[in-house]
Amino acid sequence: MWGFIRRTTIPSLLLLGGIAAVVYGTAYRVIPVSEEQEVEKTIVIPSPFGMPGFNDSMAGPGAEGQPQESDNPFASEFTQKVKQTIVVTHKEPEPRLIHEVTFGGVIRLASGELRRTYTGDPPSLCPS
Amino acid sequence: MTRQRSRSARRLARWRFTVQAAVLLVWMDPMMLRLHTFCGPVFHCYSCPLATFACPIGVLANFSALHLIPFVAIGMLALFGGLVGSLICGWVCPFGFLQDLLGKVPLPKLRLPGWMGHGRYLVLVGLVLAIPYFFGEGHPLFFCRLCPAGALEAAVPYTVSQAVAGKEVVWPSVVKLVILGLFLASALVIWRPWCRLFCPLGAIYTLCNRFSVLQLRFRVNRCTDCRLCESYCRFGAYADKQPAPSRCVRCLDCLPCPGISIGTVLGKPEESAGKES
Repeated sequence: MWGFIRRTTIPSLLLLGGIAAVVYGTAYRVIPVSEEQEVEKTIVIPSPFGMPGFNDSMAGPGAEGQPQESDNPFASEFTQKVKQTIVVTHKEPEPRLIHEVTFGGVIRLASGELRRTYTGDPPSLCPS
Repeated sequence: MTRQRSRSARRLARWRFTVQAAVLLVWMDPMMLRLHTFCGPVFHCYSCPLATFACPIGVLANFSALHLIPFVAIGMLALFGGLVGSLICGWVCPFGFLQDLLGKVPLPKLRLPGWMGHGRYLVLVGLVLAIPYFFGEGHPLFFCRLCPAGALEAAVPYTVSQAVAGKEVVWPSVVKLVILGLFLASALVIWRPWCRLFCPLGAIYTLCNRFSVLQLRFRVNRCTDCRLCESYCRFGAYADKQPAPSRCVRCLDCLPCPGISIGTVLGKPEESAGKES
């Protein structure tokens, strides 16, 4: 009896520990990974002279990057669409991160933050 | 009894080739599934265009660079190591299968001293864990940048495919190609040189040999001093009738020896049983 317990203790611990690690890593663990995203923001530019309809030579509404005339003819400000890069953090499960490291999709910054190295489609080759 | 045992062992040895070939087929991603979210238990570069699963050593190294503990990879290694130990090396690993095929070339084979197997632990601790942890994956000594499995299964096929497609060819590093060339040449004159000298995955599995469910037992009381174990074992796991679990890849080629038997920890060991491998 004791011989059996002695013989099977370490193998049992190894197997149970392995199963527990796989279950935890697959089903429960999430790791924060940040990525840069380009977003379009609308900013308001006040008119320098406060005069309605200033700068008649502007492009019509809808032109990208161009200041737009306000619908109100007496408005003293203009709106402009600009592109801005922001950092967004996602929580990724470990299997997804395993897939990402196979093509060098994640790196660790000096601050300790994990950052995705690509935007859009992932690279097809491992960097090593 | 010995003749019958010898026949059974030879039949088992033929099954090994079949099992290895079947596993290679599965690992070569016949269904193009690319299941790289799953970490496999064998040494096979995940960048290979035909790789089904992720390589556990690649995962360990990359997660070490990210300062993360790879629970899935460690769990897989503990599970397979705890069940069968280095039987994975002898019966499953595609890279070991390649070395077995190269070893069949009829050239004289060198026998290496046992202490050279400790190099595997240096590779595991140094190149797989420490270098990525302290210097990141960009360091020239990052394991994946040197790995001959990566060179053979990923770098060379991609280079060839780029050349065939007429695209700009990105050559693998010279160091990687030199290591690959040395490995292929040495596999002709040494049985499984990578497994015996450098493989970090084999280092992990052979550590599990003493504790795995599957056990290869050497019974000193049944030894007839015929030295068959030393001639059957091509990997130098037997020296002076003493098996070394740290060198055994559990190919089971030594089963014709009357002193060697295979069993599990669940079975009752015989009286005056010898060492376990």
